[in-house]
Amino acid sequence: MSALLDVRGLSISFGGVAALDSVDFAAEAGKITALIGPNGAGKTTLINCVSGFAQPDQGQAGFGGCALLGLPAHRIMGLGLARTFQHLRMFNRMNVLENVMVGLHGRMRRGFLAAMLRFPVLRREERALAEKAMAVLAEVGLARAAGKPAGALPYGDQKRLALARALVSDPKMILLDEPVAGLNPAETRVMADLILKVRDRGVGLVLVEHDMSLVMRVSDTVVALCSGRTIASGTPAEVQRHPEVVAAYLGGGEEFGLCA
Amino acid sequence: MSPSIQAKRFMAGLFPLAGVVALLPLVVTNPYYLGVLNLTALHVLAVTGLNLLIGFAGQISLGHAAFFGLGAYVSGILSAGYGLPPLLSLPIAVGFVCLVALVIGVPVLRLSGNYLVMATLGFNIIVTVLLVQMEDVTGGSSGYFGIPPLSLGGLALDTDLKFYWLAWGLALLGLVPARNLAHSHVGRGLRALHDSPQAALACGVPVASYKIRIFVLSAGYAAVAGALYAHYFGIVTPKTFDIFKSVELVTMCLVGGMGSLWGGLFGAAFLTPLPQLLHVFQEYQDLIFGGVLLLLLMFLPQGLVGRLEESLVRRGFGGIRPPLEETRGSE
Repeated sequence: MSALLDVRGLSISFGGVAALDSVDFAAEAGKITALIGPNGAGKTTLINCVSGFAQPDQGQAGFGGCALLGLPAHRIMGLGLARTFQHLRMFNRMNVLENVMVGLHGRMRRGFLAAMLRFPVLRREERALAEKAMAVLAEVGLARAAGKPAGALPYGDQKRLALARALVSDPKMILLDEPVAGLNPAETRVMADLILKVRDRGVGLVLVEHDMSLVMRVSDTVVALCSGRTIASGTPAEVQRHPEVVAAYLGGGEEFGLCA
Repeated sequence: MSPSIQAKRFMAGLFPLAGVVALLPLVVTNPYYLGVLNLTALHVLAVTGLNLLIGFAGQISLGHAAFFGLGAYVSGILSAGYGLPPLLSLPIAVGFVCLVALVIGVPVLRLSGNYLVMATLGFNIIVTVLLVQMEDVTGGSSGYFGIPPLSLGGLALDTDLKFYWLAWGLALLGLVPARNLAHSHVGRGLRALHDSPQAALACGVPVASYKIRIFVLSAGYAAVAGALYAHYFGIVTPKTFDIFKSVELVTMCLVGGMGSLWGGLFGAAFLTPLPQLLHVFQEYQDLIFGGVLLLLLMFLPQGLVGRLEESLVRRGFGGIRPPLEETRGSE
């Protein structure tokens, strides 16, 4: 059986520099697949290509049998592939609840005209949206902050809000771009538990992360990228011992953008 | 607070306002002042649309006077030149302007920030030049005149007072769909793309199509105001719809408070009569006008009404109140 997210031969270059060079990548439903590698390895670029935020030069990407490349980002989200951002990108003009409600936007079938005329069905839908959003906020432990402006939350809470915003649409898979970057050890533990809880619900997760102890603890599979190429993939233990990975992280090659 | 309660609160504000509007002609009988009030109503209409675009979606247009002007010219020329009843020429003009907005919106809204401002400004300049140069059709720089007043079923709206009822009726009515939109999931999507287009996309908001739709909608509001203007004053000149008019409309949004429909109404009501009152000072008019703006933007960058709403938000009264709190409150 093929994986839920299946990427083959993905290449993209920016101004002649290859950010991704024929990368193969797969992530399964209900599993945590970590994507590691030194800065500039192409981890975020891979996520951007898959989620419709960058158009690769070559390659294929399929999600549950649907071809992803060329689809606009909001359609990819509609297929059940959600993502978060390394830099939070909260909707600061809205409160926490509304932020999560935006995450359900893809569910709404009615457009401008219905909204302007205030169709009665919208009122019911809106109420259902708020309830669903509240349930997810409770799940990530932010129910009490629901009425606060999103920008007023502490950084750690905003990270969990970002996860709630992606989680609320019941996606089949979430691409998490550095979910614990900048968090203290206690906040990191909370986030790790949340990630595992989401996985246990059957949601596939792709985890881009520099926190190796987190990656080794929660991941089912680890893929290591370096300079836009896959250098290793396997169980956390296998990848950790892989000579090229050791070289990439410890060999000093990374400062020069070189991989072993 | 649930969205429907939020909407009711808006209606609670609209009714007293309608009352004030209904009583005002009892006090204001001078046709000159009625004329100023009528112009204010048209500005309210245009600013309501512009506010949806700028305040909610965060897309700044400095070309809205062009849509205002095109609405005025098309409806004016169709009725005076081709004998169409104004009641027919007006919707045709609005439809035409929406089409123009769609055609220029598709390429222009790919731009953002300063580039979008420059592109819309450029569009306005082109429209002004065309209105001046196409003398055979538009009457050139001296303007197009002889435009008949609107008439509703034989009743010609040919006095200031009769037009007052129509203009203010439409201005207040125009707030209702705008309010509905602002408080819907679409309004939330628009605010989301204002804060972060990428995050909005990742949430499933069709950013590109939303930007175009709101642009066309706001152009439609301006076109209605413009067409009404033509049939009220009976004459339109290119100078009325140049870039300075666009700046004026954006300023009305700014002064009242961007992203607040009440703010837009207030901005129009504050800034339309201001130059008329300052007429006494003649030479100092621009100075005083500019000074008021400068002070407002320095000390109240959120706008007059925006400032008030912001403090409400800070106290937790803004936005949709979580349902939990609502149930707790009713216990």
